[in-house]
Amino acid sequence: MLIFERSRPGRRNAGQAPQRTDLRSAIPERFLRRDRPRLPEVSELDAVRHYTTLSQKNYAIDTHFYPLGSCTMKYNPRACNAAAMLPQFLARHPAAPDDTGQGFLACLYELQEMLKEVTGMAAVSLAPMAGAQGEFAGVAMIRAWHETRGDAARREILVPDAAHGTNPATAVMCGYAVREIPTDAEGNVDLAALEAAVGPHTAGLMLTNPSTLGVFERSILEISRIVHGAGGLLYYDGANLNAILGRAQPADMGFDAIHINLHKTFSTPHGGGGPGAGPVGVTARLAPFLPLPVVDREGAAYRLLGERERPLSIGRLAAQLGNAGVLLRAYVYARLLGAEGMRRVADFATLNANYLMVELKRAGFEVAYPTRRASHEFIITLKRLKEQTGVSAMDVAKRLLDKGFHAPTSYFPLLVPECLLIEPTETESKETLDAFVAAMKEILAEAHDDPQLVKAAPHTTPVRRLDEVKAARDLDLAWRPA
Amino acid sequence: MLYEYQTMMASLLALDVANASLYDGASALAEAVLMAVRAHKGARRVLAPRTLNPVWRKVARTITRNQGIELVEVDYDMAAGHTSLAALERFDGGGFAALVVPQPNYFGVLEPVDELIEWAHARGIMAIAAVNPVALAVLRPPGEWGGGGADIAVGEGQPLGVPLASGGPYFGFMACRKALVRQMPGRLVGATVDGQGRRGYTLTLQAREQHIRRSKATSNICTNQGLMVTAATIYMALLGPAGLARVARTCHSNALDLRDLLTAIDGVEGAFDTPYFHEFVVRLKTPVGPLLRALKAESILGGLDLAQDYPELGASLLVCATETKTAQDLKRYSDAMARVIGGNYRPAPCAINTPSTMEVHNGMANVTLGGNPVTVAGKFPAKGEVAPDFSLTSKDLKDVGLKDFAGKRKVLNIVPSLDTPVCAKSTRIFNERASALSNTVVLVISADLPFAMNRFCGAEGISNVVTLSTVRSRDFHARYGVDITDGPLKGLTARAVVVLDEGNRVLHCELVPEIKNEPDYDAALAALK
Repeated sequence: MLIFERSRPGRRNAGQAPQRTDLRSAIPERFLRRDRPRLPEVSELDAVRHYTTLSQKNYAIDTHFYPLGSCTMKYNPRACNAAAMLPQFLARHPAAPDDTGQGFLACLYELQEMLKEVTGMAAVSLAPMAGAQGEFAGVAMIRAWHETRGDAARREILVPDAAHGTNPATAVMCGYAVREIPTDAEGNVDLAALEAAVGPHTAGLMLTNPSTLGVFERSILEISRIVHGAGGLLYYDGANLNAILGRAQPADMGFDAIHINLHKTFSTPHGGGGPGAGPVGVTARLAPFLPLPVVDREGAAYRLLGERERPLSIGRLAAQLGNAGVLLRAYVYARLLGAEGMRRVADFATLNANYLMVELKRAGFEVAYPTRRASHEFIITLKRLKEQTGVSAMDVAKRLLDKGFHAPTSYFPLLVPECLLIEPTETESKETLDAFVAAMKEILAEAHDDPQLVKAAPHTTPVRRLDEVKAARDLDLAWRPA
Repeated sequence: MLYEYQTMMASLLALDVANASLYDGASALAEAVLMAVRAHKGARRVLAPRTLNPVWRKVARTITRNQGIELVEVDYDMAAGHTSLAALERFDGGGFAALVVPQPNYFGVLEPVDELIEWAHARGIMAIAAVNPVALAVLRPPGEWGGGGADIAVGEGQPLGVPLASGGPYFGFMACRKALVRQMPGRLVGATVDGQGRRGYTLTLQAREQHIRRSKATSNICTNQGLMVTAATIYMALLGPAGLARVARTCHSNALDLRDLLTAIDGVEGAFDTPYFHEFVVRLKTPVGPLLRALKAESILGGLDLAQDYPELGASLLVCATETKTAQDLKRYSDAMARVIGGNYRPAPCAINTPSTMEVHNGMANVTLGGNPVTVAGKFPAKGEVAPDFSLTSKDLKDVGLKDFAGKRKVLNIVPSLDTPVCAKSTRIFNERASALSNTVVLVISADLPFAMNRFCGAEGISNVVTLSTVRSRDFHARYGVDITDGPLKGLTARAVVVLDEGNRVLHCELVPEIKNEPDYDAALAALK
């Protein structure tokens, strides 16, 4: 039932609305609303019960193992939330002058410094509100760099064919054409194809390392040489930073600009779609172009730098500071871990992924890149299973819900047919991983013995498999009374 | 829950479809501009009124510029405080994909939305509404505006129960007519059924999005602001239509009360006499910077100084009153403003006295002498800028400029006078430490006569500094933002340190907030390491 269906005319929450009785109005009739908006009329208890019940229908990190590849669904420490929600952080007005927010700015400044340290970049801006906005900033900075050097002929951005969809979409938003570079059978970018594709028209290459295929790009230094040699710049999509945190720096691989997904690597809550945060880091030559604002420190005072101090900046991406509360959570997380903790993140994320990969292989699943060690995630392909039994990756994913696990990422990257991209993260215990393997073994057996059971899954969730074709065909995007 | 949110927003805005959110209001506006240009299939220019939030215009420019899209400003009527229909007539020739219509606008004023939409639609131009969601509980929604209503509506969702939290996370909302839904960015949740006929919800029309369409997607957006939308949905459910209307009316009533209180103060007048929602502009006869600083010392953040974005309004302040304020709050604020403006006022010393970026922007620094505020005029140099040249008089009565120290790093030690104890001590200390640095010259600058400077250096045994007098070029005071224009030291220079590199770029600068105090020597010398 929807909240509107619980609504009863005249029901209201006196305690929630303001109490002023002597209301005035100086708004002429022609500006006034004639009808009431369709908002529900419910009691506080109705609302509490309704939304609590809805929340309990979800699979979440707090309740289920969530090996969604590329998303890094690690545990969100409660300390981060508590600190970020201290009253003076939460109630502070975004336009309050810098000297009334020194504590807050100090946290942000230190986060900038830590992100520089961890990535090896010379300068960082915390402005972008998501990974995709970080990518936009990165490519826009690359474009600004070429433009200030009068290099307007560079109209193309290269992306591997395995790249996340945001990469080519971002390049187009920055006014570039996109050219895809193929991946070889070992999961690496095809160097010969890259060599052939670069030239005076190349603005840059967008790359994730480890790649979206879950393997480390072994020729990264060679890739860097090829792209830089042609006058292009290298952009690092930080989606997979969890695999190398504290162990390897994108700067050492030759990247000129990077973004970090704080909602992945730095464990801020995913929130059912957000808010995330995508700070960008750059080498010294791109620093003047960083999006605003940037936090600066002069002596003992912190302040925000704006257009006057950074005339070459690509500009602002948000009306205010960006997702400040997310930044605070990431800051506390980084402080909780420390440098030693960060190294353990990469170590255990990689260990957990490799353990799971070996166990699933032993259980009879086909690993997509069998000659390669997993990074923090790996891919299994169910192509053969589909041919043998008709059971697809989608079916296996749905059946996992019945076994009490959220499914891994399915059908991404597009390169591998019938794939599941599995990322356990470092915060899971061996017992949880073993339980997952056991469930997968059961499903594999079911696929052979009772394929219809798997193909009709899920059976135990609040709803069964949903008719997505109908959803698109008979578009129903807002409730209307009967 | 997202489906409920989409339903509530679509109804609030009186449009067919709302998406599941974007990052914030400003970036949502940028996405609406991209959407309108895509849908228009012809023009790549969009009309953006000056009464639209200046930062939103900046963000929209950043996000759309690389696709060859241009935002063109439309002037406002200075008496009315809203977009001028006469100014709009200038664009009759066409060639625009959309007109952005804020409601209320940045000044809080209500725009003549019906006439604006009619003008746009008559010329085949789409209308993008940029609205306050709480105001829509009482104001006519964009879907019902004249001329067929807006085609797309966006705005900032923070007012719907999301904490201020120093700037974020917030959320941007977007809604549009049914015909445009396939052009809309962001996630969409659709209702459907499962295999057994149960009602369920799923992400739909995903072929618009980056994970399917990649380089042909409507946007690169992946995450949205899910948690904030959850908060807003629960907020709207707890309030209901009557409660939200109550919130809106209370905001409006408080703003009316506050404007009455403030404009009753001598020296404060309302900028516009047209209807407004919960924000308004007042014009002052005294500078805004020192007023805000004085209010801040009483724990009141008095409003937004409009000088930087709207210099034509003179000394003007944007003030807001929401439902969170009581009558006592409003009285406390207006009493404090009356006291400060009336001159009957002694500022409290502040623990941290750094001028904010905004204050330095306005060229009016906030400096005190023995705790009493003094006015210091001019434009103080900023870090990273190339310092302006000057012509000052040396002790040999020769006129000297930056070129006479070409190739060296310069420490400009600017003091009110060498004949007071603080200045002498500071010069001596600087002399000792700066002389230890390579390729660096210390220039002591004041309004003292060259003879007095000569006598001082002789008596103190200082040889490693160059003393320069502003006797022949008083314009140096304003050019370097150190011009004291009132109080006992009127006519002299404020205390400041500016450190320049070999190319005269500012490495460090400090305008000392309390003239009787020493500058931060460590910070100045650290900039030279």
